[in-house]
Amino acid sequence: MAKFDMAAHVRRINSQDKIATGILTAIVGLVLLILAAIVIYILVAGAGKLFDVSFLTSKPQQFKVGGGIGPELFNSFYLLFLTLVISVPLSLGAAIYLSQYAPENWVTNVAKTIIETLSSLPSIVVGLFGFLFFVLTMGWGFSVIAGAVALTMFNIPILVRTCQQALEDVPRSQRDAGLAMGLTRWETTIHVLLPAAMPAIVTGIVLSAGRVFGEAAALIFTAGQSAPVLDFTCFDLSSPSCPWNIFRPAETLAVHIWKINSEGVVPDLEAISNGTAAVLMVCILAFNLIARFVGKLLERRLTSE
Amino acid sequence: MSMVERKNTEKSRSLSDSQASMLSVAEGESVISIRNFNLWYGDFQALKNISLEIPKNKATAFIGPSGCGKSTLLRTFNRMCDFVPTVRTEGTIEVAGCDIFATEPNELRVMVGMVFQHPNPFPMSIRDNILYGPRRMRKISKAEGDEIVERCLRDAGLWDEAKDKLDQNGLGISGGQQQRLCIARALAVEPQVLLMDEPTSALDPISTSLIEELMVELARDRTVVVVTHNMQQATRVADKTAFFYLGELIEEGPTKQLFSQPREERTKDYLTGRFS
Repeated sequence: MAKFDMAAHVRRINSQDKIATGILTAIVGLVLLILAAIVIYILVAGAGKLFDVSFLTSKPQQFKVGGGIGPELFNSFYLLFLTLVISVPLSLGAAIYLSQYAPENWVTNVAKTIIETLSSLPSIVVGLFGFLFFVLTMGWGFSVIAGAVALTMFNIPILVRTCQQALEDVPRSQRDAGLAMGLTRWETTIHVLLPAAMPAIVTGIVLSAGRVFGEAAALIFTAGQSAPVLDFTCFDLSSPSCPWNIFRPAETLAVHIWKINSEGVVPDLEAISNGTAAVLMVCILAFNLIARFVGKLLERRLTSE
Repeated sequence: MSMVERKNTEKSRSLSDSQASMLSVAEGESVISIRNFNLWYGDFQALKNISLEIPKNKATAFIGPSGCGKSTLLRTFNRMCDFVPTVRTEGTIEVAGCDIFATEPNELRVMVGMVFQHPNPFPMSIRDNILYGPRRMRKISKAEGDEIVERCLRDAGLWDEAKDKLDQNGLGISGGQQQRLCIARALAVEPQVLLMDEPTSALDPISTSLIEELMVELARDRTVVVVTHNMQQATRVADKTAFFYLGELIEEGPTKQLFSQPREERTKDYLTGRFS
């Protein structure tokens, strides 16, 4: 039997390790390069409009140069707000049920499978379903509420999964602590599990907000492609120019980009779509930073002060 | 019959009844009595025909190799086993004369507190951790709350270290302090019996000896049952020791006697480290 050469063996595994490190670093570098290039391109292309207050606040033009994205910007945030108001309580409730209460049986398994399937449903399908059901059957027309409900359908599966994961990641021992004190499952969930899972839940919500904010396909046929001029002094909830009216059509930033590129006739089409894209991306970037910051803040509050 | 079924078929006794009968048990007499008790997880029998008496206001240690059923038995005393879906029991366990399977579990757990292997404070301030239990049962004034917090922290040997940071989060202190906080939290609802499931196995030696001293102290006015892998710990803290092996209770008796003159060959082998 040949003598085992330790030195050669060490040399070989060390060089393997070096090669693997090199290849993995190169792959990550490539991915980063591509992403950075996209981000920088969008920001540079839209830089002129990004800091232009009149672009951010004025209404779009149909045929002339110099239109803005004021209503679209507001619509995006308003839709996001409504979507979260509807989807967060529903998702949290479902996640609590699935992680704490659901018995292990076929009904629960079917529910989990459906949620997973829904989370990979193409958003255009959600949009067309919303169009047929909310816009036509329910008779809501192209409206904020139809858009918000479609986005809710699109958002719930992801949120349920995030919240469920967050709750399940709370150490088993914490749950035992509550139960062993004679706390009911509900008390344990509300006072022990939810606070402990809160950092992850909040991070999940803010990240999903970024996804919702940039969604276009689900909104084209639900919230519609027109943005009525908004009058912020109008509180008549039936008026199409009232910003808070949930039955008015509401084109968002992402839909605006799609629309002016597919059927826009304004001469400065490219500048507007670049500017809008930059604004959209800055907002989503902000969501991500907020998610991290709030998550860390809550985490710190949970474990120290 | 499963535990859950039993719970529903018999009318539960109220907490005050249970506490009254608890007080009527004299010190040293049996406060937990286990008779012909069997427990299965699915098809696996984890406890085989256990009969054992736990004396009031003494410390009792359960020792034995991993998987011998000692933790399972401990967790049955406050019905934490109910949360295992496939569990099935036979025989009786009485705490202060009442059948635990006929008692409302959440009431039983107020009377029979528990401390776990890994410290598990609630994600809230030290003060709120301790007052959580009492606040569930009645309204606690600020002054009364302060009094409870101080008493429990003193009893748990944590007062000097924690008195200046009562509003700090319970998860932000060291592991040994967290474990003493968990003991303080358990004491706050004034349990008659305190179950400790390997309470020091996740702690450093200094924290461990603090908690061992504490166990001796605590057993002066309440019943302590501790599961431990550490035989020295049993000799240091327990008045009575029970040795389990493969789901059977092999031998039980006063700690000194069990360690110095074990009657059973298997006990002798375990104590001398011939198997673990």
